[in-house]
Amino acid sequence: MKILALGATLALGIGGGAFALFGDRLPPAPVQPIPFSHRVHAGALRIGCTACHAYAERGPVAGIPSMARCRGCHRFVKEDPEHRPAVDAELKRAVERLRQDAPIEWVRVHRVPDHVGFHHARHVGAGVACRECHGAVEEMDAVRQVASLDMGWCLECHRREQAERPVERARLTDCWTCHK
Amino acid sequence: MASDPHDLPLNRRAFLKLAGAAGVAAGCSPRAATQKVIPYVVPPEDIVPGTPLYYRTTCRECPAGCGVTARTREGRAVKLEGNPEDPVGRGALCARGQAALQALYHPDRFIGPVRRRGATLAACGWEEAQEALLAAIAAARARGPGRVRLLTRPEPGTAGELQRAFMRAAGARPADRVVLEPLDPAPLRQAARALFGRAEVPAYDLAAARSVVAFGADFLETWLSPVELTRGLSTGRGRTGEARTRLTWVGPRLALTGVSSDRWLRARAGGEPAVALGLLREVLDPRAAVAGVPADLRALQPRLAAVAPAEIEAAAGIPYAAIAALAHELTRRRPSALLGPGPASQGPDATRLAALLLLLDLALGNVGRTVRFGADPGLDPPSSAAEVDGLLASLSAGEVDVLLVHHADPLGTLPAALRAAEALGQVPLVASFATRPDATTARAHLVLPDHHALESFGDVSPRRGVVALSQPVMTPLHGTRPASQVLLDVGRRLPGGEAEVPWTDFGALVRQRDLERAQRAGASDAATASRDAFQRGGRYEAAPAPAPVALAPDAASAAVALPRAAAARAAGELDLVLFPTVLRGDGRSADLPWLREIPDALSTVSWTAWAELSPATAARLGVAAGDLLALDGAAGRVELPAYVYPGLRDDAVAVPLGGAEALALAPAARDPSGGRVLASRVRVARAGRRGRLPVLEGSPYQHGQEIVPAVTAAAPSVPRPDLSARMYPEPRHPEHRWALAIDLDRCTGCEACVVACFAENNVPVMGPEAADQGRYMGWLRIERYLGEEPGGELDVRLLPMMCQQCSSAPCEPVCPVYATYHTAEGLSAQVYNRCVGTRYCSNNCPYKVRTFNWRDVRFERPLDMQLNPDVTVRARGVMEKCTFCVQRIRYGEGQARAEGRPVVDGEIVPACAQTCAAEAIVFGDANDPASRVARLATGPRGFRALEELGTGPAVTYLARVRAPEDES
Amino acid sequence: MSPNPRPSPTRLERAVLAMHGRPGPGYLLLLALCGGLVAWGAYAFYLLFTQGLQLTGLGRPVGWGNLICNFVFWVGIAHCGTLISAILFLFRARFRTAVYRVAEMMTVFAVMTAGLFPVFHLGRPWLAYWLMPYPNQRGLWINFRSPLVWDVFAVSTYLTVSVVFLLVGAAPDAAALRDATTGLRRRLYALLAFGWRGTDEQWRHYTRAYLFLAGFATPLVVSVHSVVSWDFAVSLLPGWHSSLFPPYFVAGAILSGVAMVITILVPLRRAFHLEDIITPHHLDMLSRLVVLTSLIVGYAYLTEFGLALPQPASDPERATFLYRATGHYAPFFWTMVTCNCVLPLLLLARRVRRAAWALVAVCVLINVGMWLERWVIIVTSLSHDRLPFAWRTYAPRWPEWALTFGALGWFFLLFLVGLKVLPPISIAEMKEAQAHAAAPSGTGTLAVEVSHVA
Repeated sequence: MKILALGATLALGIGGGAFALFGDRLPPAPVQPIPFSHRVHAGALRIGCTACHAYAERGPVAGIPSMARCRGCHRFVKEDPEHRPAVDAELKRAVERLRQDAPIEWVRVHRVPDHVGFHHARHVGAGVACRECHGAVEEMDAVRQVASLDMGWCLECHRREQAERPVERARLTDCWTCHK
Repeated sequence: MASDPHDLPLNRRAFLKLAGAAGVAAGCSPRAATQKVIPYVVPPEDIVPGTPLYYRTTCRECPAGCGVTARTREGRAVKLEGNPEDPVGRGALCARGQAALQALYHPDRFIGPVRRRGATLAACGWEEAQEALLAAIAAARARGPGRVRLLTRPEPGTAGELQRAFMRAAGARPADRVVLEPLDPAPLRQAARALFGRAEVPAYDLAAARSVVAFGADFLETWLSPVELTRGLSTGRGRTGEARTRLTWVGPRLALTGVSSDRWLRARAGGEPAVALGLLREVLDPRAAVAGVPADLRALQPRLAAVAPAEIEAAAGIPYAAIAALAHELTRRRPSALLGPGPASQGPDATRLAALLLLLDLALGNVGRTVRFGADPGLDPPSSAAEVDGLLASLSAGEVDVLLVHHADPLGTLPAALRAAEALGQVPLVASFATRPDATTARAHLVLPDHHALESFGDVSPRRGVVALSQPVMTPLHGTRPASQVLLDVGRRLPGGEAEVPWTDFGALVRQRDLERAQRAGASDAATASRDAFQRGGRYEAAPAPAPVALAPDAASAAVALPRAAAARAAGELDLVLFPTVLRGDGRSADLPWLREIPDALSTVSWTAWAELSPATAARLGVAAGDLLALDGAAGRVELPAYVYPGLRDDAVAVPLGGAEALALAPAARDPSGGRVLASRVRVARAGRRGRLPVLEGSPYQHGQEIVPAVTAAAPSVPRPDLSARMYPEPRHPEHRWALAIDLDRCTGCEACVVACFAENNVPVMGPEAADQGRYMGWLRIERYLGEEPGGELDVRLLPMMCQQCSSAPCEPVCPVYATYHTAEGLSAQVYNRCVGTRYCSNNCPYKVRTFNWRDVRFERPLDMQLNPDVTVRARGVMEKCTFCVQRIRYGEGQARAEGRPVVDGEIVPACAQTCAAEAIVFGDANDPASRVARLATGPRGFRALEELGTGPAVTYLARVRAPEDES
Repeated sequence: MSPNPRPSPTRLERAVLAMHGRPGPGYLLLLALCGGLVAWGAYAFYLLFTQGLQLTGLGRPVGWGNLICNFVFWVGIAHCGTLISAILFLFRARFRTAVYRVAEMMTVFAVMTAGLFPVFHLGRPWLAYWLMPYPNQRGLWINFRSPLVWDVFAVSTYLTVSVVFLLVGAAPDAAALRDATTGLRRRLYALLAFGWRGTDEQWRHYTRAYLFLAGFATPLVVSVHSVVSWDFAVSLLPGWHSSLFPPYFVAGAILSGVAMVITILVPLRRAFHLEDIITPHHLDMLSRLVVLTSLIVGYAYLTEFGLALPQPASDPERATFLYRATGHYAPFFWTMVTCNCVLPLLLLARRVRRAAWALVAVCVLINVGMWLERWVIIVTSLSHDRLPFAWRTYAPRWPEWALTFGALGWFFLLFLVGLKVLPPISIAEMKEAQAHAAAPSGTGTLAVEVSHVA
């Protein structure tokens, strides 16, 4: 009897602890086809987000920069002598890759389920900074997901905003505001 | 099937288009492990991913030529809507126009040229295909004229011009190009030529007509220009008393168009001319004292007076008094319009019927007012039945080496009795430009698939003053090539072809021609003017003034004669009525999933053809609905499931056109003037077996309830139940209360709204088995009641039924998980991914408008590319229903918010209301007393479905107006 | 009333231990049969789970069919257990002692069966736990206005209470068996005996607790099926929306429950030769209960029609009831009336009440009738709602039947196993009853002590 009870408690304890520790951990940064670094572009070079993610302020989708946009700069930035040769080599390879007419197939990092109608422009327009959801990408080489992007996480912010102006933002917690 | 929907490079191209919408959910894939995000190589400057982009083009589903606004997302067309600037459609599309989109994404489409190898069609390169065609034509040309023939749909525009040039290059005579339009109102054109010397189809201005009489002309479904005519009629509807346009339907079967009528004259099949004659007799009668009758016409009066009413009665099969009453109405209510003949009345005397109707129009002073000549451009009139039969004859005689078939499916649209299949069998090379397999490609030697209309340039002129322009709304899905471009390439390379076909690119030619039009119109900057025209969707000038007509007396007197007396009916024989339906059309689009899935408005049958019998006849034959009937037609025996329909004469059997069954039954006969005869007699017997007849209706009777009330001028308002006693307060809707008003006096049951709903909301097609089990997924259905009780008086009433968005919705409180709830805007929301599928909401919904996903649905490639990204594709086990197109509401509200202004009444329009040609459906904010919907809903005709339950629907129906005889 | 039987205590224990002896071939055969049925049902559910409800005959408008019908049926069966053990205990109806253990086991197993169906019938059964209130990151809660949520609470409460009631009641017997057995079984009974030693103090607490539990369980008898009936009563459908439903359903539940008890008892006493413990007198008493409840049910039927038929011809309520009696499902309706209102009247005749097998036949038919009653209520109303255009009939497909019979197998499987674990007759209370009869003046508690000392 007692042994049984003890075992059960232990199992629960260990299981619960494990979940608490590793249960909802976010995925690591995926391996991208080319080692594009946000730290360099957004951080060191201080290129604004919407310079490449052109639609973030205009539409539902932030948009992935077109190959043409990459070439726009890398027509001139072909090499990086003053850094480590490895970086230089990478850059050369990347520029070579850009010469081809085929798009680079990036691995997706951020995704909301299909039943959610997320609208970038609305959020940017409402004064939500990119980093509030995407984290400090300017410090990441390979971008990884920093927020869970699950409903509870969305609601945290929506509730907070609603609490400030309950009347105008009454809809912020209506299911159909996000669900479609 | 020659096509392979999983062809990789093409789907990859499609995929790249999708990829721009990286963040946008397209369709509803379950969470993928790793997803790729593929950027544009060069971004199209006008595309902002996730936002719609609109293109104007033209619908080619029928000759009417309605303008189209195609909504595209990330470079793929997801929805077709009318073009509000186009004078023909005025922003509306019919059911087939809405469904044209599915032809673009049809999985069976040819993805490249195919060539016959033995029994099958095998893929081949474009070079090989064109070389083969070129060689064959060159050889045929060498053998002398007439060895190359072209069978085409009407091409009243540059394509037609090119075809004629090509045929000249191919050494053909003008007559070698035959224009096939299966449902062409040839008798009307013939009669007009005989009487007025103008071989044209008049334009009917029904908005100006006070009374309309349709002699088997289903002008609200397929006849001439249904969208335009529907709007014309509807402008005179939705009011009581004298001001309301009255419609009379003449024919053995009450068609859907007849359902909108106030009076039905059950003339026997072939009796319509007698009815017309009787009308003319009464109208010209001196006692009627109709002013302004031309003398030549007046002169016929004695001869008409000589015809005894008894004879007319006998020929018409209805009491003469009814005809006289109608005549009295027509003399009182002028102007009027008499329409016909339609396919359902296309008997041996169709041309005489047409002539009599035109004479009536002339006598009543309609010609020039409601019946306008001079509008038909006559650019590419369909060939007469005689010419088509002539072509078939020379084919069978082996006089033809090459037959080109351009969007005309002779085997799929001509009566089987004409033995077109055998005829084609005698031709060494049959080349078709069809986009997807049809009866003709099954026997073709070469298929050079054309682009879909939404992928190509083009121009058609459906009438004088209107040039409808087409432009590609997306890059072609498959490795197809514009048919006109193929003709152009091949034509140029024929000996001496350069002279006849001096152009190189068809798209450029179309633009060139419009540039010339712009110059002719005297535009200062022709290039800009032309580009604007393409953006507008066409060039629209004011309708030309009606041309004056002069009556040819002898032709008139020739027309004034009773039809031949009907031959005695052999035992078991019934009059065959072949009728077109709005969904099946002439059969060329009958294979589109939406059009097959959606039930016919009148019979509620889907997925199959059927044979209608009157209850009495069915009882006599001992058949019930669903029993198989054996019909002995002109081309052999056909078995069809029986459907019992009180709206049919006891001496007739009715079969819908748009399928092999009807074609097998249709006779090979032609009327004297060369028109196609569709009417005949068939022997009908029961096959003794049950067939599959998927019907949507449970019971077609109201069973003592007044579910769909009607009003009259005497009693113009619907009594409403007293709902003052409520336990709970009305829910408040502080900002908006979205609502619909549906005018049943305007609604014709055309089902354009239903198709639009399927397209807009990703409603899945489930198939016939599901239909049998009540698993039809349509969010919007046309309920049709035939009367009070079985055997009672026929009183057809339509009720478009969708979610009523009740303010006290019975579905909401019973959901255990809040998957459905009431929004602050008065909508009954359904959150799909929260639903666990108890189906309690559906059980408790008195309107039964919720549909459940009984299984997972697959949108077969590339049909999935049509899916609306703004609407979730629902998973198995989830309840769904009409949302008033909440995605459009959200979009409209978003636009308004972005521009910092309130939502304007009429800027948000659900898919159903948008495409309603009759403008029967009006959407808006009931909180705003000034909004159209609020004003309509508070009118006297307003009522709500099952209002006594106190559910507080947001949908207000405006009762159908009944106009009893005494009002006429 | 007729005097209670007085078998010698030894006889009683022997009888019970005999039941717990090595299973005979008949038992094993039954076990196999039930196991087969369960397997069949499990396969059907596997298919529903993987392929969806397309395999059922359901559609629009009939969204509920066999599955919900089974749910209501088994909740109904679960009823009389508590009725017999608790209410009759409070009323000091002596005849219950011999039969209440069977009834209680039946209750528990029936609820365990009923509880499955709300999950089976879901479109997305893997999300069934969403019907439970639990804190979640979505911040979503369940809809307390929904009768389905009431069901969740009613049924789970009922299960808990009846399990506790059963186990507490069985503790002394478990102790007795613990002392009479060895090995694994001894361990098990030790567990079930909750350290029962039978001291006077324990007896005093025990009887108090039992009395309290009985009082606590009694309202549940009424509440559970009232709540289940609200699934229908609070809806808008003609034929469902009726304030009559709660009492009507409770009566029906007791009818089917008692019928089921009899159906089980008769073969049981035959198989294990308990004729002298479960006497004709007991069956007689139960039969009277059947007649009473059947009369109530019949009255409910009459009332329904009596209220509906005088309505104007256009009234949907009236249409629905006419449809029940004359429409597509009329045969089921009339079978149901015959089984639930006519056949039970046979039990007015003492001869039938005393003829065990006739009794069983009637009771089996009553349960057929009661199943049909739920089916008729659910299906006719749904298939014949207000809009005639939406009318459509329903016919179950094989997976629904597989689950229906699978549930039957499941119930009897549990019961067969239960027989081998718990004494289907309460040794302690039987002894008490005897002692009680021996010392008529003494109170219950005293008597128990006496009997225990004896």
